[in-house]
Amino acid sequence: MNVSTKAEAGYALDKEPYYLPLADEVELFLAAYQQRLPVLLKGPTGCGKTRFVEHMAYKIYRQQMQSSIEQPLQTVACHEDLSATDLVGRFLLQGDETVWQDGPLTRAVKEGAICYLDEIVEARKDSTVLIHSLTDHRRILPVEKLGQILEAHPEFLLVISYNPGYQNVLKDLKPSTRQRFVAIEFDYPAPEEEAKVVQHESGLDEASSQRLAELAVRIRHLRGHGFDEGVSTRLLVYAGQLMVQGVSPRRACDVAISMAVSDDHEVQRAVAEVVDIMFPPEL
Amino acid sequence: MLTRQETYERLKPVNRAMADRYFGITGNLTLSEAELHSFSEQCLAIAEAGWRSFESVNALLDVAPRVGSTDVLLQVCRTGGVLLGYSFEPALNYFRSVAAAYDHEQQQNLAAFETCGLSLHTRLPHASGLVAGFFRTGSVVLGAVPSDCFADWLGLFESMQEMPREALNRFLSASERCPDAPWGFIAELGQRAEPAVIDCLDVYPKLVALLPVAELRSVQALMLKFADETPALCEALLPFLEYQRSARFDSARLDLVFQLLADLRQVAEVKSLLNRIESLPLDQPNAVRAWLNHGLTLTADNPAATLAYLAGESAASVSQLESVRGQVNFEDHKRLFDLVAEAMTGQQVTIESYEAEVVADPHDNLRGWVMPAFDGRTVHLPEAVVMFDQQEQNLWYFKVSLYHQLGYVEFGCYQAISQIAEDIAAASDAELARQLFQIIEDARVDWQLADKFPGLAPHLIRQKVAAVQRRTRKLFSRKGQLLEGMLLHSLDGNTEDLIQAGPAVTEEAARLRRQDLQRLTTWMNTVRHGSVLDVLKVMAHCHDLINEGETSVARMSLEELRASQEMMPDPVNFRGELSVDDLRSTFKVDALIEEIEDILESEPDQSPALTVDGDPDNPDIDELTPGEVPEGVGIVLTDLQQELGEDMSVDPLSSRDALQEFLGGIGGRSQDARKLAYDEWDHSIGDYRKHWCTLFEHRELAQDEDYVRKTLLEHQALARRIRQQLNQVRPENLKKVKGVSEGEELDMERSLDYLMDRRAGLSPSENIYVQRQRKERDVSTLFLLDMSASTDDIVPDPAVEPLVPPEIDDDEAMAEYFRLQRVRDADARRIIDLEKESVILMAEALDKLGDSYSICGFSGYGREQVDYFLCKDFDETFDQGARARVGGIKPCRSTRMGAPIRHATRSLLATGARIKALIIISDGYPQDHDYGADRNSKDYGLMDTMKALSEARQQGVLSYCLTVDPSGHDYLRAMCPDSQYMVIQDIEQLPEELSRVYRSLTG
Repeated sequence: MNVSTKAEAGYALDKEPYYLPLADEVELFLAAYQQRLPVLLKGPTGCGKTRFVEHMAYKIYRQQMQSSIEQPLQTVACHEDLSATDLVGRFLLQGDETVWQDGPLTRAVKEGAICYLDEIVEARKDSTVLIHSLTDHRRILPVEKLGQILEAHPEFLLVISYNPGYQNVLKDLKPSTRQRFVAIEFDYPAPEEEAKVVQHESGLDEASSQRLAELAVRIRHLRGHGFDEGVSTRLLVYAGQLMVQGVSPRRACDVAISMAVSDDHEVQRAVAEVVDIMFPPEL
Repeated sequence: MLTRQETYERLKPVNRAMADRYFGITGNLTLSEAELHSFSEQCLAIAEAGWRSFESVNALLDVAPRVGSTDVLLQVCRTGGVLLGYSFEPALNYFRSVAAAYDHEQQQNLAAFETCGLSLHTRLPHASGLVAGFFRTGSVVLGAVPSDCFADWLGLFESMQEMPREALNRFLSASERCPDAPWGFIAELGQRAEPAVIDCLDVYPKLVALLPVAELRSVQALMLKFADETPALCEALLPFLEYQRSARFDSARLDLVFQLLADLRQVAEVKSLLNRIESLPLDQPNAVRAWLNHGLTLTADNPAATLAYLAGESAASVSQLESVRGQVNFEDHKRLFDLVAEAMTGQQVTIESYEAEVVADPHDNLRGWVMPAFDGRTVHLPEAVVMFDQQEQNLWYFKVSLYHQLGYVEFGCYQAISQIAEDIAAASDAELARQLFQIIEDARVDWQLADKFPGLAPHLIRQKVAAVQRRTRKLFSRKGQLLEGMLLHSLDGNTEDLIQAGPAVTEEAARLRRQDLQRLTTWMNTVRHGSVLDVLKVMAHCHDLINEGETSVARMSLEELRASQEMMPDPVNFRGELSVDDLRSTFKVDALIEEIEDILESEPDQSPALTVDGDPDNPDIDELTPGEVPEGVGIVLTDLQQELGEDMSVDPLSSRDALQEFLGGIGGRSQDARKLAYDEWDHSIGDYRKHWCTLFEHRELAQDEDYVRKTLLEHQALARRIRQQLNQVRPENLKKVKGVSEGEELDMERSLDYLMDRRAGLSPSENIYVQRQRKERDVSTLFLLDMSASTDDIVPDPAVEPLVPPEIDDDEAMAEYFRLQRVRDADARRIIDLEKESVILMAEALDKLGDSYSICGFSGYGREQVDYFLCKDFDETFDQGARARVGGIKPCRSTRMGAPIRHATRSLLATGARIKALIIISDGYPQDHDYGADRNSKDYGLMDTMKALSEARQQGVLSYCLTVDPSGHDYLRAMCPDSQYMVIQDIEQLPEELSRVYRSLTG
């Protein structure tokens, strides 16, 4: 029986993940880590929050502390059916007996890793309440099903990300949760910087990268037409990667951007329209 | 033997002058004695025949010298003699016609002419007026047409001899009115349909007056084709002929029209086509021909469909015409333009259309120069573009126009508008400065657009080339030529041949102008990569250069003076004209709004946290732990929204809108009814009639504030029952689902089974987990109430004994009976009351349930006036205003169902809800005075309603028809599937049935 939990992730971080600092976020994060203050990353999808955490985890665990921890970063992508059980752990049937399996949060608490709960507002309310005791002076995790209270490893840090763009009443972060974190706000980079990111990540030439960044600015103007987020830097990188592979710019933007940002046919057409004038005609 | 003298003496008493003429004329004739005798005898006989018959003799005497042969003369005399009868006139006119025949050298037709006249006389000896008329008309026709044509006329008359006298008289007088008619053609027409002759002659003079000669043949061919229906044809043709003259059709267009008409099969078709000829693009003959052929083939076996197609009423016709002429409509792309504009500028730019289309012909002043415009908030584009043959090109015209207007924002013109306005006003010749700014700024915007958006460049170039080709007007003044030169340069056009020496321009002047233009264009080039401020600098230089070089009026030659009066260069079509003043005022308003917005935003955020008290129906989400949510308890989304609604009122966004409305007066929602056009299905043509119904969505309704309160008071028990019933569909927020393969907890029972199975060596089921699943209701319902006049009927109340009418002759009792009846009627409940009560009870219950719903009514009179009353919209609460509006619903007029259903479907779709339900409550079959050609046929209305319902179904809207009409089964069965309608037998059941229907639709 396959019992691997889908919300679980974590990897070794052997190489430094690329991250282009836009302001003082790196220094802020380092300071927060020194004091073990939980961090809330706020910003639209695909603007680099996850990459930032990876970058910071590498910087802290691999460069500063030279730590040998196997998985310095436990990332959990929260979804609307993610419950406390998924985070903490559960009993599974193995052979004739029930076996307890730690969830990613429990593992991070035990091993002293950074636990990154991505898009926390998506998770069910019971799972957000769970982190309260970890994020104040107590730094403990109650594991009800085992009847245990785990004390967090000194190197443990909780980072959550939160996307204010959804504008959904029911999915807003409660003040009691929000006020336990220092918040670092992210937004899409200015076109010049975004072009650099796209160029680095996709290996696309400079001019085309700039076009993509310029295109993103236009498409983000359409926020509020069914997609509150605009086009993410990640999608630009995808488009760039396709272009590097020889796909024509229009087609690449079509599949990576137009189709992805919205299901509204008219909005797709409008995006395609902007793509159309942004890139030179194909021969 | 009569001698001259004797005859003279006998004629003298009759008329002295006539006798003198006789004497004189016979003296000149060479007649034998016998011949003279015969002639004189005839003269005497004629002269003495009766009153005024001497005139006939006079006419005979006129003829005598013309006739060469004596035999013929005597024959003429004899014929004249025969015609003497009841009146002198036949003979008189006969003689005159003979004279005319000789005058016009038509002697060869004379014999046949006489024979025809004589036979008429023989057949109708008393109809002397007719015979006289025949000869008179004959002589007129003789003089007007060549001899073979006259023979045709004669033949035509002969063929008509059997017709009644009246018809012959009409023919003759008509012939007299247009003696030069093409008698060969009319004879042919007569062969096909005799009555057509006179009808044709009646209008022929008008046709001649309205049509160029060259086109007459086409009309004749058409008349021959439709000989049986000549009056109808003429009726159809005449208005067109008048129109074509006033619209100055050239021969190519007329030819085309007649070619088109020649292909038609019925006069009704001719009429349909001619009625809308103005809207056909006759300058694109191939397109029109293709359109017509397509239609004739398409509708070959359905005459009604052909008529609708030709009249441009059917959807197939409209779309086919647009596609053959490459037309692109603004409306079809409005949303795209809106989105593109928003993407490009990052602000809400509204794109509107002018009611006009852009066509290729630059001389068509009404339609050729519809230009885009931008006032900072709204871009105006033409309604339709048919500049090019291809739709794609026309669409690009739209897009290039739009991008150019947006370019003013993109490249900083809009932002610097105050500076621009000041600089222009400061120039000594402000109008010149304005024109220069327009030209240079347009050039800059287009150049920079092409640089920044490489994908746009080729299309921009194509539009520029087309614009250059359209510039055909020659200019002669210095200023005009220089500006035109700059304009051409801005369009990347060739300016070399522009300035030539001519009547108003000396060689030297031309050389100087070329030199100036050279400098101007060089300066223009400097703004290619510059800002709008550079444009202002260049504008100032150019202004000075042009102004300094101008000759003063006093020293101008006459030609120069005349040239200086000419119009300045035409603007470029796709660029439009920049209204600096409009832009400036919008800009100021925007700046002010931003300032106020800043103040608003700096206020501390006061939105209170959401608080929900301990009501079991509204649990506090913060405090929930897994497993705590009891079964059957849900959280109603709208309750939360209502709570939040109060906070929303300080939302800076909404205050921005309010401010904008207040300050700019732009974008204010009209209080008037919203007007929308809807297609209607016509089963007889098997197609939609395009934009057939005009629907008005009213928000300003009659109000009755008390009605809802009273209803709820009266029907408390029923209201409670409905509420209870609806509560059964209330959603459960989280529901435990057992037996799934993945979940939060192990299900004890199933785990045990699993273990036992394993022990027993069976393969166990792995579905041993428990999961909590989320259930949400996402429903939008629209209640559509029939407000036709028939809903004013009284619902019989079984509790009240009906009044028995007294004996007819008992007047007093009768009066009392009517009085009582009136009193009862005033208090009685009507069908509309039941409809209203039912929806009110539903609304009340739904408000508690939290489902979104809308209440609308419909009525109308004719296709131009379909009324749709929006009492409560989906996003409104059932507040005082909505209650008053529902209470105010009154019976109005007819029941045209198609358009209201389509409108309701559209508003349901806009809600984006997962379940969309449309509940129609009516009291009878759809009818309206022009709902179908045949008023008595119910089919048209039924078919249209059916179509509207099936459209709704296709778009995912569940519909349900409730009717209180006992005969409803008959037509509802045809209109919708069994499960989607209900005929309510006992009308009092309506409220409960409604709630049942609601549950089954949305549960």
